[in-house]
Amino acid sequence: MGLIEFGYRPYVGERSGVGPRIRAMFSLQIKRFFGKRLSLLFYIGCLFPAIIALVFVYIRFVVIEGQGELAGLRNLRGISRNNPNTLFGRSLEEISFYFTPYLTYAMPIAVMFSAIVGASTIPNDRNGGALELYFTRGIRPVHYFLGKWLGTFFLHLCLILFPYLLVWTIGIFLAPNWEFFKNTLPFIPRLILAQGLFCGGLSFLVLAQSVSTSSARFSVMRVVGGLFVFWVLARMLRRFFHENNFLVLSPWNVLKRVAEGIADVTASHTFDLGVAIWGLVALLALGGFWIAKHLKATKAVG
Amino acid sequence: MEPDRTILEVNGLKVQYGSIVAVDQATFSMAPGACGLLGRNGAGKSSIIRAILGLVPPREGSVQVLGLDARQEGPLVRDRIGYMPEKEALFPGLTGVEAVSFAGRLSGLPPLAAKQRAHEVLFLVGLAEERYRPVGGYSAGMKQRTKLAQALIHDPDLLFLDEPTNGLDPEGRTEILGLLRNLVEKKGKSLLLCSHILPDVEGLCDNVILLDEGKVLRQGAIHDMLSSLGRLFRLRYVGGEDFVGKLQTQGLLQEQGEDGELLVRLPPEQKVSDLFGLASQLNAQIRLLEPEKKSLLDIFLEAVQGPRLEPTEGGSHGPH
Repeated sequence: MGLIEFGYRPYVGERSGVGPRIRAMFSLQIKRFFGKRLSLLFYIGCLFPAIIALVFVYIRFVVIEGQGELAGLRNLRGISRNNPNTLFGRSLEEISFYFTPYLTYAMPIAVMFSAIVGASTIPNDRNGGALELYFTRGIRPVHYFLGKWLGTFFLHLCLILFPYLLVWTIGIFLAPNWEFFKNTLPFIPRLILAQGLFCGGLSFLVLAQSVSTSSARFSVMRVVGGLFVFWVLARMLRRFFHENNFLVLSPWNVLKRVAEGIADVTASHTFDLGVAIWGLVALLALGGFWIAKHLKATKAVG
Repeated sequence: MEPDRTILEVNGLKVQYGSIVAVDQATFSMAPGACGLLGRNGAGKSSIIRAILGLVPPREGSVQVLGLDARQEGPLVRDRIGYMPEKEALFPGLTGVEAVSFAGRLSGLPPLAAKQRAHEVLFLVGLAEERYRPVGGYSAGMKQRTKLAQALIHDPDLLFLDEPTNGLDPEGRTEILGLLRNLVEKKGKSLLLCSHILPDVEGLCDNVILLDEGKVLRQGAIHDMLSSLGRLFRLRYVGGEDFVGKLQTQGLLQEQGEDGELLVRLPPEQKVSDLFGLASQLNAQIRLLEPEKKSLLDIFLEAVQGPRLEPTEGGSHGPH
């Protein structure tokens, strides 16, 4: 390894502000996730509910309303020739078709994905000493957290929102006429807003809890365990006391309920939206306090 | 380089964490060039680094870096400083060129410039062949070089290097020190070097700042400090019962070995012949007088431990 003087020159150009630096952190996180074959496979695996939704769209618009090619699908329960809008009790023209999967039956997938993409990123930086590199450059801990949050938020959207928007778009093109588009367009902004809030809140909480540890594994376990334990606890208390508002004890329920409020989706065993909003405010405040306490440049440098 | 210009000025700096005073009334300045920052563990080096980087608000005093107030303009200061931490500090999961390029982008370089400069600095630090390999698989020496490249990518005016030769083999250490010397002498960079390898500091730096228990013990040119120590001699003698006592009274005795060998310090104003004159007066015969080379280690030890004078119990301890 000989040292070669390869034209190390003074830098005379402009230096960017905080925005491009945050963007660099954001794009690095996305690139690192999608750049690895293993995480790409994991992502595709997590898309299972969205793939099911795509199959539904195919059955509705190609098999039932298309050329009538029902061969092999005659015996599928729930396919109604009389009411082709409804498949397995789900209607493609209701917001819940696009909104609920990852918040209900596919919740374990969403929790696992969230833990993998969000909970390990800051501990990995802390463990590898990268935190010291970030904070000794022209960015503050708040910028660092913002960059990480944007990356995690986008990855959550890639799982929970974007695939369903794609399914919806495919549905528009497969539908025999514009009725489907006209019927569904009004709720799409609500869907985007609701899932945006859900993904943003979940990303914030997952990242916030991770700032205090340098062990990615511990952080992942804390996310999965924490969300699951509080979810079970809230359900048990609700059953025991016959009081739905106990569901607010689960961060997952809080985020879900507020998102449901925005999406205007009525869920069974629901609790007060007002209580959920207060719960969300409390969670965000707690997360902010935790970040301020543990994500300090003075702790990472020197 | 403009030696008269001050690039770092610390005035009455006090850094306190709760009730613990980490740095107490530290005052020093640094001119362009290379300067060593030395101190034992817990001497306050890290706290001074944090204050210089604008990461910890001083309880008292001020820190001016390159004409900027570190407290008020921390991010601007950090854009103009290249910091190489002692601990392993690399962006995980990236190749060498990606890691260095990303470090450049965090320091405000546009993507294209960051990429170009990443290649250049990796060539400079001797990682040209390995720059496309993941940093996680690098050897300790290669990681050191990558850290140095990360510190250099954004063309900082002042480099803050914490143990830059850690983990390097002798050849690599010589190369890195040569590179750092080149940066100072030919590229006009200034270095603040923290290292426990004192010969590295002595070989690279003209000036040194010595810290202990949060206080600045000494600062200045290493050459001046060595001169101020006076000339040291190893001395053996016979006879002269009061010779040791007289040397001690005159403040010349530095150390007395168990074998009777003395370490004598002559202040600049005294001559060697004065020593022979004193021996002659006390009927002592000097059998060995050998100059002792002083190093930064002696300056450091004297600063943190005081003069190494061991009291004698009277009488002659010289060999007979």
